[in-house]
Amino acid sequence: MDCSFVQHNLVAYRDNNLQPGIRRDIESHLSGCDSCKKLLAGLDVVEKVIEEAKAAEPSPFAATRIISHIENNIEKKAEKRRLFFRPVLVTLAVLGAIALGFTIGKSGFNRINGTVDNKNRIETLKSDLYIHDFIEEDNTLLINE
Amino acid sequence: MHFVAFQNVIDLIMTDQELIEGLSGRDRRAINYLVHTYQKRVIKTAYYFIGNLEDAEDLSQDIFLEIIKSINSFKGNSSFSTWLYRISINRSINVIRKNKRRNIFTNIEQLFGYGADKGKTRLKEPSHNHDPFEEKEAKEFINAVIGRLPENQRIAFVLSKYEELSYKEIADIMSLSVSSVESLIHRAKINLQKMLADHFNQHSK
Repeated sequence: MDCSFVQHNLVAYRDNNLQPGIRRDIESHLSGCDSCKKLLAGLDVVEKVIEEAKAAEPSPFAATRIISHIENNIEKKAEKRRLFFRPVLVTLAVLGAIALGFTIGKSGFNRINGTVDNKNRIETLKSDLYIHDFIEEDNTLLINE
Repeated sequence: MHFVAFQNVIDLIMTDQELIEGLSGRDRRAINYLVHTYQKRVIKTAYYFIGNLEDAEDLSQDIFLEIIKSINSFKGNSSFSTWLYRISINRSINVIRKNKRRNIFTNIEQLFGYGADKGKTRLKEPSHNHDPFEEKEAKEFINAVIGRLPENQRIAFVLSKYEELSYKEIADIMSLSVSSVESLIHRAKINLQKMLADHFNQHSK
Protein backbone atom coordinates (compact mmCIF):
# COMPACT_ATOMS: atom_id res chain seq x y z
CA MET A 1 0.00 0.00 0.00
CA ASP A 2 1.52 3.34 -1.06
CA CYS A 3 1.34 6.77 0.63
CA SER A 4 -0.91 8.33 -2.00
CA PHE A 5 -3.62 5.68 -1.45
CA VAL A 6 -3.41 6.13 2.33
CA GLN A 7 -3.44 9.92 2.10
CA HIS A 8 -6.44 9.82 -0.23
CA ASN A 9 -8.37 7.72 2.28
CA LEU A 10 -7.32 9.32 5.54
CA VAL A 11 -10.52 11.37 5.97
CA ALA A 12 -12.61 8.25 5.44
CA TYR A 13 -10.29 6.44 7.87
CA ARG A 14 -10.84 9.12 10.52
CA ASP A 15 -14.58 9.12 9.89
CA ASN A 16 -14.63 5.32 10.21
CA ASN A 17 -16.07 4.95 6.72
CA LEU A 18 -13.76 2.22 5.39
CA GLN A 19 -14.12 -1.51 4.99
CA PRO A 20 -12.35 -3.38 7.84
CA GLY A 21 -9.72 -4.86 5.48
CA ILE A 22 -8.68 -1.48 4.04
CA ARG A 23 -8.75 0.04 7.50
CA ARG A 24 -6.33 -2.61 8.80
CA ASP A 25 -4.01 -2.06 5.80
CA ILE A 26 -3.98 1.70 6.45
CA GLU A 27 -3.27 1.12 10.14
CA SER A 28 -0.32 -1.10 9.32
CA HIS A 29 0.98 1.50 6.79
CA LEU A 30 0.62 4.27 9.36
CA SER A 31 2.66 2.37 11.91
CA GLY A 32 5.69 2.50 9.62
CA CYS A 33 5.23 5.80 7.68
CA ASP A 34 6.10 9.08 9.38
CA SER A 35 4.76 11.40 6.66
CA CYS A 36 1.30 9.71 6.61
CA LYS A 37 1.31 9.71 10.41
CA LYS A 38 2.00 13.46 10.35
CA LEU A 39 -0.84 14.02 7.91
CA LEU A 40 -3.18 12.10 10.19
CA ALA A 41 -2.00 14.28 13.08
CA GLY A 42 -2.66 17.30 10.85
CA LEU A 43 -6.24 16.17 10.34
CA ASP A 44 -6.53 15.85 14.12
CA VAL A 45 -5.37 19.47 14.39
CA VAL A 46 -8.06 20.47 11.87
CA GLU A 47 -10.66 18.83 14.12
CA LYS A 48 -9.14 20.51 17.17
CA VAL A 49 -9.21 23.92 15.47
CA ILE A 50 -12.86 23.39 14.52
CA GLU A 51 -13.73 22.35 18.08
CA GLU A 52 -11.91 25.40 19.48
CA ALA A 53 -13.78 27.67 17.09
CA LYS A 54 -17.06 26.11 18.13
CA ALA A 55 -16.24 26.74 21.78
CA ALA A 56 -15.56 30.46 21.22
CA GLU A 57 -18.13 32.68 22.93
CA PRO A 58 -19.10 36.18 21.80
CA SER A 59 -18.50 39.06 24.19
CA PRO A 60 -21.24 39.48 26.83
CA PHE A 61 -21.64 43.07 25.63
CA ALA A 62 -22.15 42.10 22.00
CA ALA A 63 -25.96 42.30 22.22
CA THR A 64 -25.84 45.77 23.79
CA ARG A 65 -23.48 46.97 21.08
CA ILE A 66 -25.65 45.52 18.32
CA ILE A 67 -28.81 47.10 19.76
CA SER A 68 -27.19 50.49 20.19
CA HIS A 69 -25.87 50.29 16.60
CA ILE A 70 -29.41 49.56 15.36
CA GLU A 71 -30.89 52.29 17.59
CA ASN A 72 -28.36 54.87 16.36
CA ASN A 73 -29.02 53.91 12.79
CA ILE A 74 -32.79 54.18 13.14
CA GLU A 75 -32.44 57.55 14.91
CA LYS A 76 -29.96 58.78 12.31
CA LYS A 77 -32.40 57.85 9.58
CA ALA A 78 -35.23 59.70 11.33
CA GLU A 79 -32.93 62.72 11.82
CA LYS A 80 -31.98 62.60 8.14
CA ARG A 81 -35.66 62.59 7.23
CA ARG A 82 -36.23 65.53 9.58
CA LEU A 83 -33.27 67.42 8.09
CA PHE A 84 -34.55 66.71 4.59
CA PHE A 85 -38.07 67.86 5.36
CA ARG A 86 -37.20 70.90 7.50
CA PRO A 87 -36.22 73.21 4.57
CA VAL A 88 -39.20 71.92 2.64
CA LEU A 89 -41.52 72.77 5.53
CA VAL A 90 -39.94 76.22 6.01
CA THR A 91 -40.27 76.97 2.29
CA LEU A 92 -43.88 75.81 2.33
CA ALA A 93 -44.60 77.99 5.40
CA VAL A 94 -43.05 81.06 3.75
CA LEU A 95 -44.94 80.43 0.52
CA GLY A 96 -48.13 79.91 2.52
CA ALA A 97 -47.59 83.20 4.37
CA ILE A 98 -46.97 85.01 1.08
CA ALA A 99 -50.07 83.47 -0.45
CA LEU A 100 -52.15 84.39 2.61
CA GLY A 101 -50.85 87.97 2.58
CA PHE A 102 -51.54 88.22 -1.10
CA THR A 103 -55.11 86.90 -0.62
CA ILE A 104 -55.82 89.28 2.26
CA GLY A 105 -54.31 92.20 0.34
CA LYS A 106 -56.30 91.37 -2.75
CA SER A 107 -59.58 91.13 -0.86
CA GLY A 108 -58.88 94.50 0.85
CA PHE A 109 -58.05 96.10 -2.47
CA ASN A 110 -61.22 94.69 -4.00
CA ARG A 111 -63.28 96.09 -1.17
CA ILE A 112 -61.84 99.60 -1.69
CA ASN A 113 -62.02 99.23 -5.42
CA GLY A 114 -65.55 97.96 -5.07
CA THR A 115 -66.62 101.21 -3.23
CA VAL A 116 -65.16 103.36 -5.99
CA ASP A 117 -66.98 101.26 -8.51
CA ASN A 118 -70.22 101.73 -6.62
CA LYS A 119 -69.76 105.54 -6.60
CA ASN A 120 -69.11 105.43 -10.34
CA ARG A 121 -72.08 103.16 -10.83
CA ILE A 122 -74.32 105.57 -8.84
CA GLU A 123 -73.01 108.51 -10.85
CA THR A 124 -73.62 106.63 -14.07
CA LEU A 125 -77.10 105.67 -12.89
CA LYS A 126 -77.83 109.22 -11.84
CA SER A 127 -76.65 110.53 -15.18
CA ASP A 128 -78.64 107.87 -17.03
CA LEU A 129 -81.78 108.79 -15.18
CA TYR A 130 -81.17 112.60 -15.43
CA ILE A 131 -81.48 112.77 -11.66
CA HIS A 132 -78.85 115.45 -11.46
CA ASP A 133 -80.56 117.64 -14.12
CA PHE A 134 -83.91 117.06 -12.56
CA ILE A 135 -82.72 118.25 -9.17
CA GLU A 136 -81.08 121.23 -10.78
CA GLU A 137 -84.28 122.00 -12.71
CA ASP A 138 -86.16 121.62 -9.46
CA ASN A 139 -83.82 124.12 -7.82
CA THR A 140 -84.32 126.53 -10.70
CA LEU A 141 -88.03 126.26 -10.29
CA LEU A 142 -87.76 127.06 -6.62
CA ILE A 143 -85.67 130.13 -7.32
CA ASN A 144 -88.03 131.26 -10.02
CA GLU A 145 -90.88 130.97 -7.62
CA MET B 1 -34.69 56.22 24.69
CA HIS B 2 -33.83 52.87 26.20
CA PHE B 3 -34.49 49.32 25.24
CA VAL B 4 -36.25 46.81 27.44
CA ALA B 5 -33.90 45.14 29.90
CA PHE B 6 -32.43 41.80 28.89
CA GLN B 7 -34.27 39.87 31.62
CA ASN B 8 -37.61 41.09 30.26
CA VAL B 9 -36.59 40.13 26.77
CA ILE B 10 -35.74 36.53 27.57
CA ASP B 11 -39.04 36.20 29.44
CA LEU B 12 -40.77 37.20 26.24
CA ILE B 13 -41.54 34.58 23.62
CA MET B 14 -42.47 35.68 20.13
CA THR B 15 -43.58 33.60 17.19
CA ASP B 16 -41.77 34.16 13.89
CA GLN B 17 -44.86 35.96 12.60
CA GLU B 18 -45.02 38.31 15.61
CA LEU B 19 -41.30 38.95 15.32
CA ILE B 20 -41.53 39.76 11.61
CA GLU B 21 -44.48 42.11 12.13
CA GLY B 22 -42.69 43.77 15.05
CA LEU B 23 -39.50 44.26 13.06
CA SER B 24 -41.48 45.62 10.15
CA GLY B 25 -42.89 48.33 12.45
CA ARG B 26 -39.41 48.87 14.03
CA ASP B 27 -40.86 47.78 17.37
CA ARG B 28 -38.15 47.92 20.02
CA ARG B 29 -39.34 44.79 21.78
CA ALA B 30 -39.07 42.86 18.53
CA ILE B 31 -35.58 44.27 17.84
CA ASN B 32 -34.48 43.27 21.34
CA TYR B 33 -35.94 39.83 20.95
CA LEU B 34 -34.26 39.35 17.57
CA VAL B 35 -30.83 40.37 18.83
CA HIS B 36 -30.96 38.40 22.08
CA THR B 37 -32.31 35.28 20.41
CA TYR B 38 -30.04 35.16 17.36
CA GLN B 39 -26.88 37.12 18.28
CA LYS B 40 -24.84 34.02 19.14
CA ARG B 41 -25.80 32.25 15.93
CA VAL B 42 -25.10 35.28 13.73
CA ILE B 43 -21.78 36.14 15.39
CA LYS B 44 -20.56 32.53 15.32
CA THR B 45 -21.54 32.03 11.67
CA ALA B 46 -19.63 35.18 10.74
CA TYR B 47 -16.70 34.02 12.89
CA TYR B 48 -16.53 30.61 11.21
CA PHE B 49 -16.22 32.31 7.85
CA ILE B 50 -13.95 35.26 8.60
CA GLY B 51 -11.90 33.63 11.37
CA ASN B 52 -11.78 36.54 13.82
CA LEU B 53 -14.26 36.92 16.67
CA GLU B 54 -13.97 40.70 17.07
CA ASP B 55 -14.46 41.27 13.35
CA ALA B 56 -17.39 38.85 13.47
CA GLU B 57 -19.00 40.87 16.30
CA ASP B 58 -18.56 44.10 14.33
CA LEU B 59 -19.98 42.46 11.23
CA SER B 60 -22.96 41.11 13.18
CA GLN B 61 -24.10 44.71 13.79
CA ASP B 62 -24.45 45.25 10.06
CA ILE B 63 -26.04 41.82 9.61
CA PHE B 64 -28.77 42.62 12.14
CA LEU B 65 -29.33 46.01 10.59
CA GLU B 66 -29.72 44.40 7.19
CA ILE B 67 -32.16 41.85 8.64
CA ILE B 68 -34.33 44.67 10.00
CA LYS B 69 -34.08 46.79 6.86
CA SER B 70 -34.96 43.92 4.54
CA ILE B 71 -37.59 42.30 6.75
CA ASN B 72 -40.33 43.23 4.29
CA SER B 73 -38.59 41.19 1.60
CA PHE B 74 -38.92 38.04 3.72
CA LYS B 75 -41.68 36.12 1.95
CA GLY B 76 -41.87 33.17 4.31
CA ASN B 77 -40.84 30.64 1.65
CA SER B 78 -38.24 29.34 4.10
CA SER B 79 -38.05 29.47 7.88
CA PHE B 80 -36.96 32.73 9.48
CA SER B 81 -33.73 31.17 10.79
CA THR B 82 -32.85 29.83 7.31
CA TRP B 83 -33.30 33.35 5.92
CA LEU B 84 -31.18 34.72 8.75
CA TYR B 85 -28.40 32.21 7.97
CA ARG B 86 -28.49 33.26 4.31
CA ILE B 87 -28.01 36.93 5.16
CA SER B 88 -25.24 36.13 7.66
CA ILE B 89 -23.39 33.92 5.15
CA ASN B 90 -23.77 36.41 2.29
CA ARG B 91 -22.45 39.27 4.39
CA SER B 92 -19.53 37.17 5.65
CA ILE B 93 -18.63 36.03 2.14
CA ASN B 94 -18.76 39.66 0.97
CA VAL B 95 -16.26 40.60 3.67
CA ILE B 96 -13.95 37.75 2.61
CA ARG B 97 -14.20 38.87 -1.04
CA LYS B 98 -13.40 42.46 -0.06
CA ASN B 99 -10.41 41.29 1.99
CA LYS B 100 -9.19 39.19 -0.92
CA ARG B 101 -9.48 42.16 -3.27
CA ARG B 102 -7.63 44.32 -0.75
CA ASN B 103 -4.92 41.64 -0.47
CA ILE B 104 -4.56 41.55 -4.25
CA PHE B 105 -4.01 45.33 -4.31
CA THR B 106 -1.58 45.09 -1.40
CA ASN B 107 0.35 42.35 -3.22
CA ILE B 108 0.49 44.51 -6.35
CA GLU B 109 1.75 47.40 -4.24
CA GLN B 110 4.42 45.14 -2.75
CA LEU B 111 5.38 43.89 -6.20
CA PHE B 112 6.07 47.45 -7.29
CA GLY B 113 7.97 48.16 -4.09
CA TYR B 114 5.64 50.39 -2.11
CA GLY B 115 3.19 49.73 0.70
CA ALA B 116 5.45 46.90 1.94
CA ASP B 117 4.32 47.27 5.55
CA LYS B 118 0.69 46.85 4.68
CA GLY B 119 1.22 43.50 3.06
CA LYS B 120 0.45 41.28 6.01
CA THR B 121 -2.31 38.87 5.07
CA ARG B 122 -4.34 37.81 8.06
CA LEU B 123 -4.24 34.11 7.29
CA LYS B 124 -0.60 33.26 6.80
CA GLU B 125 1.00 29.89 6.44
CA PRO B 126 3.26 28.44 9.14
CA SER B 127 6.95 29.03 8.80
CA HIS B 128 8.75 26.42 6.72
CA ASN B 129 11.57 25.88 9.18
CA HIS B 130 9.58 24.11 11.88
CA ASP B 131 7.27 21.19 12.28
CA PRO B 132 4.11 22.49 10.54
CA PHE B 133 1.66 21.58 13.28
CA GLU B 134 3.63 22.28 16.40
CA GLU B 135 3.37 26.00 15.79
CA LYS B 136 0.93 28.55 17.09
CA GLU B 137 -0.01 29.50 13.55
CA ALA B 138 -1.55 26.09 12.93
CA LYS B 139 -4.99 27.58 13.55
CA GLU B 140 -4.35 30.40 11.08
CA PHE B 141 -3.04 27.90 8.58
CA ILE B 142 -6.15 25.72 8.88
CA ASN B 143 -8.33 28.81 8.47
CA ALA B 144 -6.32 29.75 5.40
CA VAL B 145 -6.72 26.25 3.98
CA ILE B 146 -10.49 26.34 4.56
CA GLY B 147 -10.49 29.82 3.05
CA ARG B 148 -8.91 28.45 -0.12
CA LEU B 149 -11.81 26.08 -0.74
CA PRO B 150 -14.20 27.08 -3.53
CA GLU B 151 -16.99 29.25 -2.08
CA ASN B 152 -19.83 26.70 -2.24
CA GLN B 153 -17.66 23.95 -0.77
CA ARG B 154 -16.57 26.26 2.02
CA ILE B 155 -20.14 27.26 2.89
CA ALA B 156 -21.33 23.65 2.91
CA PHE B 157 -18.29 22.51 4.92
CA VAL B 158 -18.63 25.28 7.53
CA LEU B 159 -22.36 24.72 7.96
CA SER B 160 -21.82 20.99 8.32
CA LYS B 161 -18.67 20.83 10.46
CA TYR B 162 -18.94 24.01 12.51
CA GLU B 163 -22.69 24.64 12.70
CA GLU B 164 -23.49 20.91 12.72
CA LEU B 165 -26.51 21.46 10.49
CA SER B 166 -28.12 18.53 8.70
CA TYR B 167 -27.68 18.14 4.93
CA LYS B 168 -31.36 19.05 4.53
CA GLU B 169 -30.90 22.32 6.48
CA ILE B 170 -27.78 23.17 4.48
CA ALA B 171 -29.65 22.39 1.26
CA ASP B 172 -32.43 24.82 2.30
CA ILE B 173 -29.96 27.57 3.17
CA MET B 174 -27.97 27.15 -0.03
CA SER B 175 -31.06 26.51 -2.19
CA LEU B 176 -29.53 23.23 -3.44
CA SER B 177 -30.56 19.59 -3.42
CA VAL B 178 -29.42 17.35 -0.56
CA SER B 179 -27.30 15.27 -2.95
CA SER B 180 -25.50 18.42 -4.18
CA VAL B 181 -24.73 19.34 -0.58
CA GLU B 182 -23.39 15.82 0.09
CA SER B 183 -21.18 16.11 -2.96
CA LEU B 184 -19.94 19.60 -1.97
CA ILE B 185 -19.00 18.44 1.53
CA HIS B 186 -17.26 15.33 0.20
CA ARG B 187 -15.26 17.40 -2.30
CA ALA B 188 -14.42 19.95 0.42
CA LYS B 189 -13.00 17.20 2.63
CA ILE B 190 -10.98 15.73 -0.24
CA ASN B 191 -9.63 19.17 -1.15
CA LEU B 192 -8.71 19.94 2.45
CA GLN B 193 -6.94 16.62 2.77
CA LYS B 194 -5.09 17.24 -0.49
CA MET B 195 -3.97 20.71 0.58
CA LEU B 196 -2.79 19.35 3.90
CA ALA B 197 -1.01 16.45 2.22
CA ASP B 198 0.75 18.85 -0.18
CA HIS B 199 1.81 20.95 2.79
CA PHE B 200 3.12 17.93 4.69
CA ASN B 201 4.86 16.53 1.67
CA GLN B 202 6.63 19.88 1.16
CA HIS B 203 7.81 19.78 4.77
CA SER B 204 8.92 16.16 4.74
CA LYS B 205 11.23 16.75 1.71
